[in-house]
Amino acid sequence: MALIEIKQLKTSYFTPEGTVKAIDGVSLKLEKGHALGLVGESGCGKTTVALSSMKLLPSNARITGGDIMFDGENLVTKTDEEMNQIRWKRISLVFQGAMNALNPVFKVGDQIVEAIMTHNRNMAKSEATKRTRELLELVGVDSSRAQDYPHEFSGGMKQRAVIAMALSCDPDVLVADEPTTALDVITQGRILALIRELQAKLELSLIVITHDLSLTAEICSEIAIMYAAKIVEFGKTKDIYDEPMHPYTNALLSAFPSILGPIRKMETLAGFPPDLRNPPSGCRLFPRCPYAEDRCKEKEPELEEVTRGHFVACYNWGQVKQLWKKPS
Amino acid sequence: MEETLVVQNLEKRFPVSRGISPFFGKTLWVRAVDRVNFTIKRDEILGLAGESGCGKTTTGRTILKLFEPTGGKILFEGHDITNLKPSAMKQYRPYMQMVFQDPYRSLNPRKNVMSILSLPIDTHRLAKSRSEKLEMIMKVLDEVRLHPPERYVYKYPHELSGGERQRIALAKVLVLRPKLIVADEPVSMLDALVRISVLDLLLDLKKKTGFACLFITHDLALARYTCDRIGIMYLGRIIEMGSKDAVINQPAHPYTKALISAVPVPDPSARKVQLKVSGDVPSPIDTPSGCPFHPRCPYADDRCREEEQQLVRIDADHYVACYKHNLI
Amino acid sequence: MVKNQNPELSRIQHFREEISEFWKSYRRSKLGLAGLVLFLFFVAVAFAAPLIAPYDPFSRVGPPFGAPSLSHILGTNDAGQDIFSELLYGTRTSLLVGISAALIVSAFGTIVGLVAGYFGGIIENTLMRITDIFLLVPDLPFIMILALYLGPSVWNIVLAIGILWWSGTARVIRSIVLTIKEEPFIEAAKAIGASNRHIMLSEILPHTIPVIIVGVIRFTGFGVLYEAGLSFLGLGDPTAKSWGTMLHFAQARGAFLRGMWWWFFPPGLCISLTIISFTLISFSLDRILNPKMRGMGRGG
Repeated sequence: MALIEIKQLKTSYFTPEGTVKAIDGVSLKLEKGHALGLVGESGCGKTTVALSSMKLLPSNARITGGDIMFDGENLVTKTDEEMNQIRWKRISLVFQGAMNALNPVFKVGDQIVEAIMTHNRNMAKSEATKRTRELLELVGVDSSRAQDYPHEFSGGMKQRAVIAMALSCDPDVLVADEPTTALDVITQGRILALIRELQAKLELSLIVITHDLSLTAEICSEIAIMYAAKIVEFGKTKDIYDEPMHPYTNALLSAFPSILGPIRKMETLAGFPPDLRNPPSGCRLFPRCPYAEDRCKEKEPELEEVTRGHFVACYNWGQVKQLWKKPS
Repeated sequence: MEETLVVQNLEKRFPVSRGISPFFGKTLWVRAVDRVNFTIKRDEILGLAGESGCGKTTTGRTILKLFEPTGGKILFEGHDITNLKPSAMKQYRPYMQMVFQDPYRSLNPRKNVMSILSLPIDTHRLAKSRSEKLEMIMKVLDEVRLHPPERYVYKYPHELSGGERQRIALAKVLVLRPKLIVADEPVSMLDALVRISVLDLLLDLKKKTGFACLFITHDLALARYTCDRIGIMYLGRIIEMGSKDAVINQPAHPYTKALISAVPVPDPSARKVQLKVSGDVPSPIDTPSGCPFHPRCPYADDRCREEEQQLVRIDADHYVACYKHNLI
Repeated sequence: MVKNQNPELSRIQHFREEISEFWKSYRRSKLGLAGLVLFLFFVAVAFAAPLIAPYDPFSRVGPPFGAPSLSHILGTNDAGQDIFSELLYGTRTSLLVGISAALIVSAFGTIVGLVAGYFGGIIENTLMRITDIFLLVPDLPFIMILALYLGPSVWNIVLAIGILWWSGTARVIRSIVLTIKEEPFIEAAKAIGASNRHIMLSEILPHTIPVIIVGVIRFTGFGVLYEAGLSFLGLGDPTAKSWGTMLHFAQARGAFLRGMWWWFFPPGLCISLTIISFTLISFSLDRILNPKMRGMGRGG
């Protein structure tokens, strides 16, 4: 049984300008010990998937359908009280820009101690402090730096501290939203290596949310591509990169120039994603898709398994010609 | 004029005072740009790449005299503009322009497109009448592929997407028909697919109207795709410079090698040799002696610690500031 | 948007859309609407005073200290002048003083704040120190000395308020300018070669307009209150007709002692209602124009 299974999840944001269907029927699976990459451009709904799974949606948003099965239990029906036992302790989140959300007036160590004690009411402060030191060492930060303030930490160190905080209660699943966005290339590589290391050491399962397909190639075992509130392709990492089947995946892959191999002309899709307040009835990529036909406009293609473990939501998946050649 | 821009020994330093009072504290200097030399030929794109804090952004601004240089020379089409006062600079401004990184903050949110594009036209009196101005604006909107132009003229920035905003930013600059454009991370805040379309637009415009470009970026893969030549910066200095093939395919400086090896590749089966680089980028206030990279370099020795390295030519169009380049 | 549309048309369309959006937001606030209605009422009265007033408020038209009657709805004052007519004409003076004072305060404060914030350095320091000095000046003693020196006049009150209050506005505007100054679009304008004057007026000033508007409305309310208070104390022009002077004479001629509520209650009520209306309007406008200033800004 998969550790997390999301079935037809729907979440909407209720705004004065209309109801935005941020997720409109998303299904995903995360196996224990695996790393799932959730990839898409801004506005596709990937962050909303993370927030929905942890029931951390803002007050104007609500899950409007579907199930989130975690270890056999449905999280959608759980109360806030019950979710408090799951958040941080079993599923933990490093949200986007977390490293800049460290409180500048408190020492880093103190902030981690506070996080630990908030989720473990009965723990003594001395024990929490000890655990904080362990955690910092675990993420590669010298434990003596617990006495420093956030501005004395470099970007990479701040990200490590935030990861340490998220791991403080030994969760089963870590959700990382854009974990390396604001970091330099060399630091990025180190954080990715750290995440890989932690995954192995702690038997952690991962969900990595990003728009960067070069990232997911390094750490993910499975990848789900999201477009306009839906999953358009899902499969093992190797399959996605070797044989992308959805036109959007294809376009996304060819949008990242590689540092290796011949320089190729990059292709892109003209146009914009549809307005999620009023999504079209047919395939959402229709106006932009180079393979579009009439049937695409009439009825939305379902996400179907076309080869083992490889799902795609497109009628023309067999014809999608790979635009890019892998650098040899 | 063969060479649009010649920069010699450019220096920009900022005072950072330590101590309680400006009178008692020692004034320390941050050498954000530390004796930088380069040339940009007509219609050439020179990439300036490096991690954050390396000085590439400051270099771009100093060239345009948005910061006053504290040393060295800037020659624009043969004219020495280094010490020109703002009033004297005004006549050069139409020919040397900048495209900024953040499409959400580089356009005044309270001005509509018409007003935004009127600024360059009015400042330099390029149109003799209101109808002529409107015509110019329509034309430039068409050039940046915002169709139909009438639709955009009275829109406000918040009604436009990131890609559209960046095109307006390009239009703002293009209407002046510049000879040199400094593009400071022009696509790093845009979504993947949008990035390509804006980048291709920039390249097409260069082909059509002709201008030299200083392309500042932290993304080496992007630099490789866009630029003709690349310079790598570290702590205010250019430590390697040359044609893009030379620098990316045959990096000579240890830092360049480390940087390139750290760039993630969108291919899960790619085997990368990660060059071990220790520590983080040191503070620009206490720059290390000799070669600025020596504290982190796995090959550093006494000579590296004591002697400042100058750019040395090692091939037809390849310069490196490391005496050990052919030993490693 | 229609293709090939005359761009000028779309501009008007845009403008109309903005106004209706704004009105929709404003309409949501019941208190704001109430304030607006009150305000419009008083403005209407101020304009229509000569038409509505039954008598010339400066002429003696009845017996002194007359009680309310059919011919004098609010009775007559100590000089036999019709109090109702006084009240109507007083609306003009009070509102005029309030608005004039508010405009002077805003104009002067904005200029100083803009220049100080934009140029920084010595200019900013000098201007801010001057501002600080004016902030320290105590209101009442200053106005008393000014009135003594220049003589009693409605415009002296306007001048006094202007001198006293501009410094607060200057500080607020300066802090806004300091924030805006760092934005990339300002740097972009400099890169284009725009002059300092242009940047201050066209790039930065529009960001201060919402704050200025709210300020003008609020200061008008305070101006009305101040005028009333100062006239009451006798520092205004006793020959002018304003709510404050009415109260002044009511008190001086013993209306309070004699229980002549029809003389002092109506002007007091008008003052209160005017201030309430300005406060309500500025409160609602603030919510719409400056959502970031509200600490608890809710999404959606």
